Amino acid sequence: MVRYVMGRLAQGVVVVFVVVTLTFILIHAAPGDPLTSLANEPNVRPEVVEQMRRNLGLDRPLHVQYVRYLGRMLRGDLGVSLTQHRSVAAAIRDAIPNTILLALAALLIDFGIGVSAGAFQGAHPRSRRDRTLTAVTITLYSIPVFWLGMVLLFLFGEQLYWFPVAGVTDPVTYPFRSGLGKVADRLHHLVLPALTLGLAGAGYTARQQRAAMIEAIGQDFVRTARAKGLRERLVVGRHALRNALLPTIALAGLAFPALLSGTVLVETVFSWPGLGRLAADAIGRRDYPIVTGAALVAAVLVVLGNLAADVATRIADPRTKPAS
Amino acid sequence: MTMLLAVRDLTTTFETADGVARAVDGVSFDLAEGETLALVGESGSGKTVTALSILRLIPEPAGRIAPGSRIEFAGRDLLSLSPRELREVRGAEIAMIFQEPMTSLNPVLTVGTQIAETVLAHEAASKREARERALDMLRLVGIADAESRLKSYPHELSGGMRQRVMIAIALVCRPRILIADEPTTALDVTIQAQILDLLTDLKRRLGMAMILITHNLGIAAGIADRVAVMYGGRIVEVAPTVDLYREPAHPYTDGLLRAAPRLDGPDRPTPSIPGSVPPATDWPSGCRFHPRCQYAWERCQSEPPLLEAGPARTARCWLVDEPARRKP
Repeated sequence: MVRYVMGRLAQGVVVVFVVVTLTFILIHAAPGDPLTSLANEPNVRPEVVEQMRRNLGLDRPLHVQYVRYLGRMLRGDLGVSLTQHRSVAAAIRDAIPNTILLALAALLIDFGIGVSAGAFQGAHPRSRRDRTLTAVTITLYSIPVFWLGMVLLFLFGEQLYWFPVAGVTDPVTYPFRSGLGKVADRLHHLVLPALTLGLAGAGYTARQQRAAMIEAIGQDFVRTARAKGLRERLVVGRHALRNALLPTIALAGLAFPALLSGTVLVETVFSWPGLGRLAADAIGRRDYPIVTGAALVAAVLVVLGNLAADVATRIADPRTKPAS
Repeated sequence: MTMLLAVRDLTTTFETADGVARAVDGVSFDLAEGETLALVGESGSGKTVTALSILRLIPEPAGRIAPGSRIEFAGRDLLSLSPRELREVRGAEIAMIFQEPMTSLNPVLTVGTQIAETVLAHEAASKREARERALDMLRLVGIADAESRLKSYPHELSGGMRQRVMIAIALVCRPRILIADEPTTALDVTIQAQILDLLTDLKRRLGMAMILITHNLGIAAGIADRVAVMYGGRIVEVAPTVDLYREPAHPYTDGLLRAAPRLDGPDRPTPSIPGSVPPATDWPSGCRFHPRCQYAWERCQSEPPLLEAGPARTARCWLVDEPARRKP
């Protein structure tokens, strides 16, 4: 197992390297640069802009900039933001806990709802409740995540006032709350964005879990379990579901990149100061170091997420372990 | 001899795209205490569906046991049991082993768990006791190093060992009837003999009755007391094993016996029965075998009942009535 993980991590390094390189090329290829808006100001003299461009090294050929960037990156230096007065590392350090919190909460909702709904449907295919749930899950699957976010925000935020509409904490009361109060405030802010992202994924998870469950229930070993005289609860819950969960665990690894892309939209809708919003803002401002740094961190998260899902699959499925 | 199981007019149908398939159509037979009955026939003759119907393992709602069918086990009609009562019979009174030991065992549960859970389902045993029972069973079915095999997963075992585990699961609660559905078909020939010996031995030691389902007449001859031959969803002949092999009454049985390749026979091509089994959605009218039968005449347009064909034997063929028509 250790060797397997080390091997996968080595592959992960390659993946991260490729992502960083592509992001670097693409963001530089996008029209304009960090100083475009400055250059358009009537009161700013072109020489000043030129001088700033030289100071930032943006006048060098792209491959020179790339090699410099890589060199610094390997030394652990992600550079300094061009629009915020702080290092890229500091910006990411502030954003990443928010994104991880959001992504994990969404993952919990996604798989909590998706697996239960899908497993129930698969155990009672073509029943009335199965058909109802199918309508719901296909709807969830088809809805664009930002639209779902805005609807939830409008309903539960602006109309019912049940949940806050923006941010991770209450800007006024948070500093004065007790420890437990602070946790409650954070969770209160987390509900809508996590629900948005989680529900969007739950539709797909439920579809796939339903199919996996139907397949598992049709297997010979489920018939064996019934022939033994086991209760239906055990037949479905132990024999069928355990097997039907294997593809879902693998799916969680594949769902992770989609989840991170989803955070970009959800963080924007809910003004959630996470990695996605940081990157989206930086792309608009052509803040090259932030964009590349965020892509780097996102790639690392995806690699780790995939690895975690694979390790979980290996633990859950005895057939992937070497025979003892 | 007391009757342990009496199947009467069992009809099991399946909804298919081509219409209703009468996979089993009016099957009746008895099984006595301690007896071994072989159900023999080609693929599609209804043997497996008959076996699954006894334990009501037919996948519903596509499959359905028709009203009017009766399966009496020790005086109770299995078809009218509540789900709970049915559970108490399955695995404890009547157990079943299947053709594919690979797919019939759960790949993510250990062998020990899969044997022990049968005990836990039927008896007030602790987990520890159930595990002890599982261990005893593994030893009984001849698995070496049983202690460590308890923790093995099915994929870590050979095909023969997996079938031994299936047998251990089936017999751990000492059922009165074991239904073995093609228990050796998926195994190597050398392993087949071992498993059959094991089944015969255990049957004798545990004093249970057995229904052996096979397409292989040689296997049936080796261990069955009586043989019931199935064709087209019906039983076409029932006879004590020795009599059946010495003198088959039904032309289909005769054809099956002739179609078995022989090592000691004359050097000629193995004869086969012309044609193939018709689909269960479209059985021929009259005798179901008559389109393939070399003796068929007008009378075969109407279906014969099971006719008395000698002591303790019956056959569904008009030839029993008119033996003169049986030309060599």
